[in-house]
Amino acid sequence: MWEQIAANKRRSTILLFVLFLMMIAMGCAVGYLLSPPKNDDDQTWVATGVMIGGIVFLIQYAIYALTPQSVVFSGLQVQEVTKEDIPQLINIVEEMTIASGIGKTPRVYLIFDPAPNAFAFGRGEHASVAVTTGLLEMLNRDELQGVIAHEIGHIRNRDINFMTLAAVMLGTIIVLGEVAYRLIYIGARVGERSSSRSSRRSSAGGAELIIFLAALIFMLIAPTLAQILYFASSRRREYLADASAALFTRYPEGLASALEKIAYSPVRLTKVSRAVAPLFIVNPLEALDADSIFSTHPPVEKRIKILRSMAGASLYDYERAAESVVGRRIIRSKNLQATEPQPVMSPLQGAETIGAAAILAASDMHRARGGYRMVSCPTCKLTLKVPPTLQTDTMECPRCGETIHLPPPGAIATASLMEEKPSEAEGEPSETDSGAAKPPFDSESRSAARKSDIPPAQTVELTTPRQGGRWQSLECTVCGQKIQLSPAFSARWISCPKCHSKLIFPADKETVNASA
Amino acid sequence: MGTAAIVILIILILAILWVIGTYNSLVAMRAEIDNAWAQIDVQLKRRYDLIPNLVETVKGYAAHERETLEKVIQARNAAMQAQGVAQKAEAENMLTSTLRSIFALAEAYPNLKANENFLALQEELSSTENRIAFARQYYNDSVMRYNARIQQFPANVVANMFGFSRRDFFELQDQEQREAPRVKFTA
Repeated sequence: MWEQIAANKRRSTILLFVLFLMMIAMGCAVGYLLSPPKNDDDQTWVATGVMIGGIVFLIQYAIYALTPQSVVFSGLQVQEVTKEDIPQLINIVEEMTIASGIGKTPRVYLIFDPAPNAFAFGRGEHASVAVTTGLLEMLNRDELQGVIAHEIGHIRNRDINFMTLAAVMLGTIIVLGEVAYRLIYIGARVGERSSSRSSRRSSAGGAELIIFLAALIFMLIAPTLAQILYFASSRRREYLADASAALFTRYPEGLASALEKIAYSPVRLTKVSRAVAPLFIVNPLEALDADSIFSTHPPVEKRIKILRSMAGASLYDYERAAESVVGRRIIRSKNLQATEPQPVMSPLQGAETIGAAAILAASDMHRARGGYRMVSCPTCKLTLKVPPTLQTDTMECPRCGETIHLPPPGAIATASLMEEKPSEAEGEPSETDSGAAKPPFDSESRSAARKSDIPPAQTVELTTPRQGGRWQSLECTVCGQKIQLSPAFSARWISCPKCHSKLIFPADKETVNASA
Repeated sequence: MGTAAIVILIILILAILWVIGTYNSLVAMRAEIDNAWAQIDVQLKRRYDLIPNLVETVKGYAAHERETLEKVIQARNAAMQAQGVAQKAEAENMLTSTLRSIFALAEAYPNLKANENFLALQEELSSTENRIAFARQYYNDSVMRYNARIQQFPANVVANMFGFSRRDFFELQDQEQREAPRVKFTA
């Protein structure tokens, strides 16, 4: 492990140094174009270039350093997760922290998106891991462990620090290249008009012209070259994180099967910005079989194949498998063979996923903690999650129309949480999970409601049948008000919009079908 | 004479620097092992704390399984009193197998299996088992690296000089895996 990290560190240092030299060279090129030397001793263009390069670098670095969270999570709905919310997930992260020896457990974030994916971000002590709800729903414990181990592998190998610095340098080179290109373009046009400079240069001799041309070609290809180096390093680090995951879990199949599920999932993350996409375990914006010098990740199929052809779980086994699958070594460390052979362990747990109910409960807990008021509608028992930005005292139930008096914000938080917990476990429908099935009343609340002895509404002729035909038109038995209701209200208590008496909406699909 | 003295002096300085560097790296590795061992200890304590809760919960549903429950308590107490790496490992393996028997027993009691408290404890205990396994894995990896280092030339000179001694592995419970050669040193 250590030997491999040392080799990795050396390689990274070389890459950063090369990028740094390119950055300086590009800066000098821009400086030369801005203030051409008046004679051989004039060195001001070097100073100008280095200064310009430095300023661009600092601006880019500041953008990265000052706004990490907002950049990373832009366009995604995200919540931090703690042990009470999803104990299994936190347990897995803590297990992998122990296995990797990184010391401090990273923070865990949940992204509300059905597409399975995950990534690690942040630097050093402030490292974090983010997983999507889709990932939790789709993967079993062993697979999830593989994914978390891959992400912690990135943290362990310091990929996040390194790739951030490399990305900032790459960005600087690209910006300077753009500037240089424009300056040449302007210079050429100015030169066409005056033609004094070009004539002076041609008289200076052939050697200088060759140097000038070489510099020009370098300027044009440097940004592309830097990108190729950057992406090659990114792909290598993905392989390394896979190898680390196999070593930490001692179970390569877990990650292999997880990668398969993530890659071939019908849903993919789409709202991800281009800057963040390379961080994910499978790049959501890249084709799965992308195998060019400009792809951030190696092709998923190869990654899976390497993991599946590992004889043991050590880095040496990964190297051997990589040699046979992609035909070249990846870790490239001399001392690999000296490490202990690591047998593959048997899977730890059964094929259980964490499940949607736990995820839903977790998000509700967070809403309550974040100042949401959780209120149960007294008539139809719908759980309302009132965001803290809504400052009203009363509101209409979106399902049954009953006017609900909201408790003052803050007072409710803990009390309602205790109340809400069992209903969440039962899978009580809520406003936000519109897709979930809505079970009918449980007998208890139904009998309680009956005590209010209000006669149920009667189904009347459909006055305006809607598209789909399952909507019903009811007449309030108290005041005669006609109410149009969608089938979602079937077998639920509703409140008459005119006289506010409580009515039950009959649950018979048969009559609806018959009348339609 | 003058140049020879300078050369000797430079070699001496380099040698001292190398000794310092090697010594520091060995100290760091030893600290890592102690750290890893402490992590195992933390997880073992976590397990000791969870077991009384588990026994109480199971008692409520399967009171007449007294024998199994007592065995778990006994194994826990024995593990808590065990001293030294080897003895501790044996006691912990014993505890792990008795815990397995409790979870196997739960299969016969559907009410117990559906109990929320029991499920939460089961998750915590199985995660603790994993943590112990991973902590032990990390500990063994650290010990292996350290033992290899202090035996290899030239670091072994420094190791002997400052009394860095070999550390024990935390053995695996499966007999077959124990018999397989765990360590391969290549000089």
